[in-house]
Amino acid sequence: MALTLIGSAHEADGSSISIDITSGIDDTYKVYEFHFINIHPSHAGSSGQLLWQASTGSGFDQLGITSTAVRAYQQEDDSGGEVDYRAGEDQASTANYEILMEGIGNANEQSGSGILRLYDPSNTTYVKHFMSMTNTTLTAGTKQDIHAGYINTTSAITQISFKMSSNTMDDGTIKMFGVS
Amino acid sequence: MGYTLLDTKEPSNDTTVTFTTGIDATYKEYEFRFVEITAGTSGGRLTFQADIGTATTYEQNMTTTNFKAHQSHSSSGTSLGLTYDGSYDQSNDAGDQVISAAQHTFTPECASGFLTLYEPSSSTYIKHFMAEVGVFENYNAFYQKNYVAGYIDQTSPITRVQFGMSTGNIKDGFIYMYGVG
Repeated sequence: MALTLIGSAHEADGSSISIDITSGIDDTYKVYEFHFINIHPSHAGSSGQLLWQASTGSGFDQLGITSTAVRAYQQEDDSGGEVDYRAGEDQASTANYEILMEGIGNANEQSGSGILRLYDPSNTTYVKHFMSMTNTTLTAGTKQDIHAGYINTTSAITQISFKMSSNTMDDGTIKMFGVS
Repeated sequence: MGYTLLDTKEPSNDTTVTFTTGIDATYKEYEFRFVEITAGTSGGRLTFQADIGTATTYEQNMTTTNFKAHQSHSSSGTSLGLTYDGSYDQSNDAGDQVISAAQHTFTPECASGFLTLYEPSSSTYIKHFMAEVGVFENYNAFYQKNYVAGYIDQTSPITRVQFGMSTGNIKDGFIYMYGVG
């Protein structure tokens, strides 16, 4: 397996409402990976969600997603310590942005990192599978989010958008790789 | 770019395997891959710690999660399904982080998997990591995959990483370190 960095790394600049990748997603690769490194929100808690949606070229809120959502979390005071299904964070054929990270703290040292894999986005026969796995610093703890599902379109996916649930992405890096 | 192999370790009854060079600002992600890791002592679980500068204590505070998917491969065995492994997470503790199930010493038992460490050279952020390690265990007849994630509560650059066993030595196997970029 080889990864090829496509384009340049996308850096949040402190005023980023979203990072949209609108080129480079085509039939060159069957698998695309998006790597997130130290995504740092301007606001914490429920506002500290990193979300994504895809597009066939006609906007980022058009495509239905059905997904599963699992999280594990643990607090620094040893409360928590569990893994569970997050019914409030999955989707059932809805066209919302899908959660990548949730509850990121916004203290200076807090952030979220992880990966999203998108399978065969250029295919015009099948729905588009994806899987993501991220880790975030909560206000005083850690949380791993594991999501998977499909984008319910048989049209080719050509664009992808990442944004915070509200406010801005103050810092962080997003890289897109083709997998061969 | 992509994956660049930076170092390979082949433990042979070693208490620890340590990567002390090559972890710097060159890459924002480092991935360690474990191939056919075997324990020298029954009950050994693969562990992970890190350190800064030239320090050698490997006692960085971590807050971590650890859950497992467990399946018996014996008709008389019990599959535990998906459960949280509260005995092997950490809450701002400085212990060695367990990232696998316990092995016995019966061939062909072994562990394989990976650990990704995010931006160890950052001097702003704590250091995230995620690991997935599967163990084929023949004595109690199960396969178990552990999902371990969390952060090293350290904003200084992490420069070295150490793997070991919770008891005894790493008998055999390969550990590869890659830069991802």
